[in-house]
Amino acid sequence: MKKLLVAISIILCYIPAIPLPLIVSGKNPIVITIYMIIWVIYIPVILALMYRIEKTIVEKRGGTVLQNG
Amino acid sequence: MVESNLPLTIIILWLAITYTYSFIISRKKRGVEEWFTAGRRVGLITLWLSLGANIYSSYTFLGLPGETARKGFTVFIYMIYGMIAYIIGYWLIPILWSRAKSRNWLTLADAYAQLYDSRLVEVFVAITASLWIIPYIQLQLEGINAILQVVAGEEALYVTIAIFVLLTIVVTIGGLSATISINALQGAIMLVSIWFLGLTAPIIAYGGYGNLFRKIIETNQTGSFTLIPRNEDLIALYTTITAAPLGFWLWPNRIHNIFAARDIETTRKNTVLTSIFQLSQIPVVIVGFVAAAMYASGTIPKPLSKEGYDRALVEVTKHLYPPALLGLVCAGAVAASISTAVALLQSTAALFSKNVLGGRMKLLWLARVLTLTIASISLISMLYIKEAIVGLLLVGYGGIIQLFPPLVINMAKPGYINKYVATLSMASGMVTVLVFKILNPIKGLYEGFAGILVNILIITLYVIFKKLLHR
Repeated sequence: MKKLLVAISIILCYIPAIPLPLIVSGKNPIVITIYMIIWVIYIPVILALMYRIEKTIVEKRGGTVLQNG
Repeated sequence: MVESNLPLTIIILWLAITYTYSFIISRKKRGVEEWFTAGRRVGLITLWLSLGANIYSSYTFLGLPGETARKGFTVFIYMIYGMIAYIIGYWLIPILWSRAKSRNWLTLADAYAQLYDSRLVEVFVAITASLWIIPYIQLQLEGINAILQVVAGEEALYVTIAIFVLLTIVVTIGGLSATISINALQGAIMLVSIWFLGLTAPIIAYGGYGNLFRKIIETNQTGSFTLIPRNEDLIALYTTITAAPLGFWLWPNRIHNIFAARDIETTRKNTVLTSIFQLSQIPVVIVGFVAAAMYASGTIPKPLSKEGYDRALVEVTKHLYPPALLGLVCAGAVAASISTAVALLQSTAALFSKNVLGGRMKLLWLARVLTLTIASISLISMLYIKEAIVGLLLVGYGGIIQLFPPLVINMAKPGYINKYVATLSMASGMVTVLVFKILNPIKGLYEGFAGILVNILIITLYVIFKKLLHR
């Protein structure tokens, strides 16, 4: 469970890097700027989500996700 | 005369308040454990403000707006790697905290000493981590000096030295309790001033965010500034966001601050909340865009050197707001520099005294003497070596990242690599960083990324060799 959550959270953070070359090829500075700012804001959302998921698991199983492995 | 000195008066008053407060807080807390980890009883709000102020330094307050005004798009690289670091920290920090608590680690090098059961690795980590920190302390001094050049003119250098000497005395006496109490106050003023500036500057200068960007696009698509990344910017983005987050939590000042947390839940909540602190980089970057537009239109004279861009935020504030407000914002910016410098000084002294020279004389006094020594080296570096703030930070990062693979590998699988391989991989990574920094063979490639590739390659070769031998 822990390894899966770690992998999912890291992959989610890097996903916006994939379409970036396509966004950049449009050569619109405002679109590029907004995209990058959204990427910055999106990561704490993932983090909060992970915290929530972990808390839910802990409440169900007892202990922590790290302990549950 | 009175009006021109008002910002400086406000800065000095604010510093007097924080220094006095931290002195009172740390006065009754004595002993080795107090000096190194503040007794491991720091609560969530104090830890959040303290760690936030500790992480966000001159680099955020001055370096990022300067980088935005000078280069545009590349600033997002620094914002994103910082954010990704929080995901890594979210999983790594609770494990590190638990081990530190159960095995009584006081410093970063204690972790390596125990994982490798080796004095060699312990001393190597303590010395190299301390050396990579010096540019980071120098960066803070550059920041204070850049702010004071705008508000105090020719006397800036003397005021910078006076502030730094006072600060060193407070940390030398108070240790981590003083550091955390100073930083909690500095974190509060930083947040207020950053958001105020970011939200109001585009409206005051250009009547709104839309007009600001129209102005930038009309006037600023020449020279080094661009919002449309070039190939080397994309190479820099991909290599930096891959490598730099690995080093984020291994800065000794950050890890020692985490070791001071009261419990594991505080560390986890704190990682989530400190990532919100990181969102404060958005208003900072907006102020950088305002500066870019003002430089391009000639409203503010364009800096002649790249270090000159580090004054972008203060120049914009001076141009748009009354002197009293300039004083408050500068107090916030000085606070950002001081808070990080304090934590860096304390953690470097802790590393050197405990892990390099420990045992030869009384630990606490040794830490104090070393705080003074490291402060002096950093001050001399500031006086004689000139570099832009963002550049200084990345040099340090490149080196610190190299500590990551041997730490996590042997934490996950004890004994998987031995002390010689660990030391060789870290040292080779650090040398590669220096070589790539000096020669810059691939435009845009982050030197820390090259270092970590070499580092991992050495570990991989060892593992393959070990498996072949055991067949």
